[in-house]
Amino acid sequence: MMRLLLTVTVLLVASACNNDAQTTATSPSPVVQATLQTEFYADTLQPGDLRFYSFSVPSDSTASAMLGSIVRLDGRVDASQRIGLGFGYPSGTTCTVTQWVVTTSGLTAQLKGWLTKGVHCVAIYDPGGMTVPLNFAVRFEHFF
Amino acid sequence: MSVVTSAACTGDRKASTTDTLTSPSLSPADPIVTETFTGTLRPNATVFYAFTVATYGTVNITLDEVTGVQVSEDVPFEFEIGPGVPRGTGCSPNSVLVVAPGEGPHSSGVFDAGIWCVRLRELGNMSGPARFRITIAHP
Repeated sequence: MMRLLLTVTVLLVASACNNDAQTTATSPSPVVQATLQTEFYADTLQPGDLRFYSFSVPSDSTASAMLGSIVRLDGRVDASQRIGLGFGYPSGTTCTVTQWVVTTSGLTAQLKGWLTKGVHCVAIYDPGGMTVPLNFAVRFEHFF
Repeated sequence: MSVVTSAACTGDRKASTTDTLTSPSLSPADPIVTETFTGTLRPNATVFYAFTVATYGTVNITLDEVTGVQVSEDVPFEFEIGPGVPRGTGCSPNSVLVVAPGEGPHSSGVFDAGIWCVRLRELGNMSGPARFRITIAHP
């Protein structure tokens, strides 16, 4: 690591000392060793409610979320029920949603978004129209 | 690294007054925003509240009061409080303190810009729910 740092330093000095037209030295961009992480979030959503799960991303990057299942408390799958799925940021006691989709459950990502470096949340909420509590399961992928 | 580059080239290129490099200020900003977190705390439960620090600076957290609480006289009237990062369905504290409600701040620290949270936990001393108020002052 020290040898690499020394090499970068020497290259930068050599570059900056070039008396040609290029006199501006540019710093190397920091390399973030980001790894794609898959997380799962399952809970019960009450009518009119919002549930959320917080996570951090180390740099601006893409993320996706898949609402895999919506099941009534009696165990019946509710394939026609549409609920809200979104990305946002934790604020107070909730998640302020900034990117969202209203969708039924499925086995492909319904939401793909762009997240800036920092703390975010994935939210599942009643967009209006829910009459009974529903169990949900979300799989989401983000860099960490 | 930029300073090294500049010093190594002064023999080749005349330094101008515009070459002065300035370091970013490391002085933490004072808290200028106050948020109040109120709610109901149940025995052995935790609650949390997320807030955004706009710039590197000082964050003060105070557990102002817990009211309507039923606590026997032989247990301390104390609660666990700590700042941290929202994680999962809660707040993952960086550190925790056991404090009695009252004048603060109970927790004071310097935070980077970003989203943080404060977590309050009941330690099992209460026999019923209570109302609480936490004040968070931050840049």
